[in-house]
This record gives sequence, structure tokens and C-alpha cells, in this order.
Amino acid sequence: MQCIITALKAESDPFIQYLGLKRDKAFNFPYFINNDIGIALIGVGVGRKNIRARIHKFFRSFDDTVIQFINIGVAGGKKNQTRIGQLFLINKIIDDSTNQTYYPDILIDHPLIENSITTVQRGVYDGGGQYDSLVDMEASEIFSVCSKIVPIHNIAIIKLVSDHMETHESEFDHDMISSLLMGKMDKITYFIDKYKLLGRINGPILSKTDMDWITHNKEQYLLTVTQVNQLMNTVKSYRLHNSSISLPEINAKRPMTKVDQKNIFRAIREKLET
Amino acid sequence: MKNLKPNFSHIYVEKDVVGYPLTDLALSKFSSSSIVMIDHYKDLFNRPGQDFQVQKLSMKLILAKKKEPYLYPASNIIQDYDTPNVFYNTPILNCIYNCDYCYLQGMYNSGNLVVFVNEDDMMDAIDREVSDPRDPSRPTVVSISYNTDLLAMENILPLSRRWINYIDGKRDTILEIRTKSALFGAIKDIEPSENVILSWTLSPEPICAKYESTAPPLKSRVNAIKSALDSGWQVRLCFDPIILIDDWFEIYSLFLKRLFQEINGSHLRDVTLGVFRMNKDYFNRIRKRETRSDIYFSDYAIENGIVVVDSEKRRSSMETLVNILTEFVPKDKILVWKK
Ligand code: SF4
Repeated sequence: MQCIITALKAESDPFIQYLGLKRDKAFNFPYFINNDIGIALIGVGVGRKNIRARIHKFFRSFDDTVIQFINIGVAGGKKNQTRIGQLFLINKIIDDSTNQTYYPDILIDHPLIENSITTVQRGVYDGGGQYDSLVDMEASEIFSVCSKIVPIHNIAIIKLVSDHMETHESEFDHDMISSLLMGKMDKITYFIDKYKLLGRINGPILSKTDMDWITHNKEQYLLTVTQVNQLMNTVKSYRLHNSSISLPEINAKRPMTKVDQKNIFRAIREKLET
Repeated sequence: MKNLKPNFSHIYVEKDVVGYPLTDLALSKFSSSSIVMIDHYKDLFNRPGQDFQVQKLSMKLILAKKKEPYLYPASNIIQDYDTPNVFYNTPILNCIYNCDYCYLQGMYNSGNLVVFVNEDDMMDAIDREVSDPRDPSRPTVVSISYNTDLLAMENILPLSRRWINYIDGKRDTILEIRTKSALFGAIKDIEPSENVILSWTLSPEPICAKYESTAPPLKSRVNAIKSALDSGWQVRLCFDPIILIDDWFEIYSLFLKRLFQEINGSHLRDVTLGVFRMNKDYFNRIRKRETRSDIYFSDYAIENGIVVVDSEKRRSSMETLVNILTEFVPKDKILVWKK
């Protein structure tokens, strides 16, 4: 599942429309989803305050699913370096208040221009002379929160320049932001689509069915913790050699003695190894 | 994979290494890469949450400055060298290849490569060690390709060349450059040095294909070895790790017989031999990271914190292989890890 994270309604509206996302009332904050394409969107509002709680709530609601987080939103750009409407993939995030730096892994071959961004606490309206490149109010917190729950390569930050740090936040024009994002929708969705591939690489070796098989046999044959660990490794080896063959059914009697139990365990492993 | 960025699409440069010759060289080689300035390589390389194997699909280059220590005593995982003065250093962290059995996957959080550009500091450290060795009657041996494959990088950064030039003519000092690469051609123009051992790790073709699939095939390595021997270099062959797959005896005996039809064993400096073994923590970490290699799901013994093939199997397999090897290489030139 891919989860787009936005701060403003003006940022989420174009995605809701373009990707056919439907409002889901599972959470008491903006949450939209299209299960057919595996994309959700959560709104976190401007600034840091809601980011952690909302991301965690969303994340906890998806068991056993690889989640990719993509923060898409507007940023201030420097007048002499950027154009309004220009789109960037972020390769470095500096948190202005803690000085902590984050580096998203950029593995996908993408057509976007890359840039760094500084996340600030308050809006910047003086042209942003003191900052090296882009400025926003959420990226560092989003990256920091997401990087504790998913691998770094499953977090991406995309920013569109909406102003040159001379416009007050209250003056932001909803329609202007939405239409700038809509104008870049092809590029953004191309990235999102390609990015999906990364989420598929290197998932768990064992499926839920394999894990259920282990649990069932553990209970049935009273396996010890050590035996379960050994069995897990044997099952992984089996899975690496037989990607699509089901695990064999074990039809032994429930053990009555320790010797019985050891023999059954050995027989299970032998069955998997042959 | 086509949808991924090519290796070294991004170069992360520590602010402190701007202007070093190796930094400039790397940046000129990858002029179309994205450059990202960083404070310290560990901010990137050591951070949690990275996926080593996913990053290996699109490796990035990190240029950094090595801080002390510049030289490390060799661990007991490597063979004895008949001298207590054995060290290794780390001009590069991580490897361009990705062998299944490589401990680097368990050692580092990151699949990216760090190149330390202050090679002079590392060279000075060797000079200091050699001037006051543990055993003055024995030479000092330094493995410079310990946590990497240095020669494999030669077309990207000519580090082996620089190290060979540095060591050539120095007394009582030997550099070992261990490799699986076929890039001997990149240093072929250099006069062979008495101070350098070029060590090639070789495995039978089925092992290469299954467990070393990103390294050059056996044939290319053998050609590189022949070329190095013809040019007069001291060559060591490393049959290490020996992977005891089901039909290991047939596979390894056929491999050794064919190999020594092409290479004259008496021209070798020596050969080393050892079964698969790994520090227990690295081994467990690799397992936890959902490795796809079946090597990590076999049964092993644990001896002094090392995961290793059990002693009986190890002893008999080593004995068997040494017996075969003695047909081609004098026995005193065969070094075995823990017989
Ligand atoms: S060549 Fe050596 S260092 Fe490189 S991945 Fe293989 S075993 Fe590891």
C-alpha cells in the first residue's frame, strides 16, 4: 500500500480527484483510499503537531502489508534558483530546529530534478536568504516518524515550488496550488507507479500461510522455542528452494513422551529437507 | 534492474574531503551523478532502517575521510601468515560485488560504498607500524582489500595502483590485494612488485553461479590469474570459503583438476583454504534480514563466537581437499584455516 501524506487540502484535492480516492471514516482525520490501486492519502495539516499520531494510526491499521510513504506538498523556493510550479524529489532534509539531517534513499530511476529542503518551524516570508534551497514545514518530521516504522527506501518526499518565500501562508490560493499540482500529475503518478516496485523487493520469505503452518505444528507437536527457531530456518530453506509448493501436511500423533516429541520434530525436518 | 538508478547515481561527499585528489577524481568520473554534501559518512552509512540488499541494487558512493585507527590487527577468521605482524586496513568499506556468503551484509547497515580519500594517512600508519613491528624478525603483512574488493574498483578509482606504487621497494612489508575481479589488465602496465601479493578467490563454476553471481565468472578470473603470473606477479589462490554443498567432493575435485591444467601450481606463492565461517552476530543479522541465500539456513556449529561447519566435517573435507591440492601445489605452500 502506498500512502500519500499531504499537509493542505489544496494539496490533497488533486490526488483525491485524479486517483479516485474515496473518503474513509476509519480515522477522525482526512483519510482517503482506493483499494483497487493500493493508494491511500492522509492529511496531517500544516506543521508537525499531528504528523506522528496520524501516521502511526494509519500504519497500525495495515497488518502484514508493505507500506510506502510519499509526502507530496508545496515548498518555498529561492527566487534565483527555482520557478513557481517546479517539481523536486528531495535527496536531503535538514531540520532547522534540531540540525538533524535525513537522506532519503533514491533508488528508482526517475525523471524529477533533485534538491534538498530545510524544514522550518514557522513560515518564511523574507525570501529565505539564509536557507540553501527549498523550505517547508513538514518533511523532516514526516521522514523522522516514517523512518522508524518502514525501511528508508520506502519513504519519498516530493515538493512543488508554490512561492518564493514572500507570500504569507494565509494568502495561499487553494486553486492555484491545486492547479499547479494537477499540472504535474503525470510526472508525479509516473514516479508513484515506479516507486511501487521498490516495495515489492525483499519482502519476507515466509507468507502468512507458511507462518500459520509453523504455528499449527508448534501447537500440535508441543515444539520448544529452540525447535521452533530451527523449524523456521528449515521452512525458509524449503521456501527458497520451492517458491510455490505448499508445505507438506504432517500427520503424526500428538507426542506423549519427550522422545516421541523429538522423533516427530526430526521427522518434520527430514520431510522438509528431502 | 532497469527501473533503478545505475550504481553511483549519487555521490555523497563529506564537507571535509572537498579538494582531495581522490575526491576530484571520483567526481570527474561521475560527472552526471547527483552530488549531495554531508557532514559525516556515518550520518548516512550507519543510520538504521536501511536495507542492505535493496541498496545493493543501486549502490551509492560516499567519499569520506578516515579517522584513526588506520590499521587493524587481523582477526582470527583469516589464515595464519607465519608472522604475527598481520594487519588490515579499510581504504573502502563495502564491495561492488555481493556474494551470498559475504560477512559485509551482516557487518554494515548499508549496501553503499564508502571510499576514504585520505590514503596518505593510512600509508603513514603502515610506515609507523613497520618501523616498530611486533616481531622484527618477520615481515609485516597488510591486507588492503579486506572489507571490499579493491581491484574490482580499479576502473572506477585506481586505488590498487596507488597502493602498489606506495609499497614498492619498502623493506619487510607486504601488501595483499584479495580479489574476485578480472581487472588485472588495469594494473598490467605496472612492474610486478616483490611487496605485493595478488590473491584471487576462486570457486567451482556452480558455486560461482549460485553464490557469487555478481562477481566475474570463473573463466575470467582464471584468465586474469594467468596473465598476472605471466607478468611475474606473486599470486595466491584462495579457495575460501569452501561451500560444502551436497556433491562438494565431485564438484571441487573436478574444479581443482581442471584449474591446475591451466595454472602451474609451482608458480604460485601459495594457496589458502577454509570452510565457510562467520562471526555469529553477523550471521544472525543476515538471517534476520531475510536473506535469500540457503547458506544461512543450514546447520552449523558455533565455536568461540564463530558460526562454522562442524569440526568433523571441516577436518575431513579440508584433509580431502589438501590431498587433492598436493598433486599440484607443494604441501608447504598450502595454508588451511583451522585444520
Ligand atoms: S568479493 Fe569478497 S568482499 Fe566482495 S562481496 Fe564477495 S566476499 Fe564480499
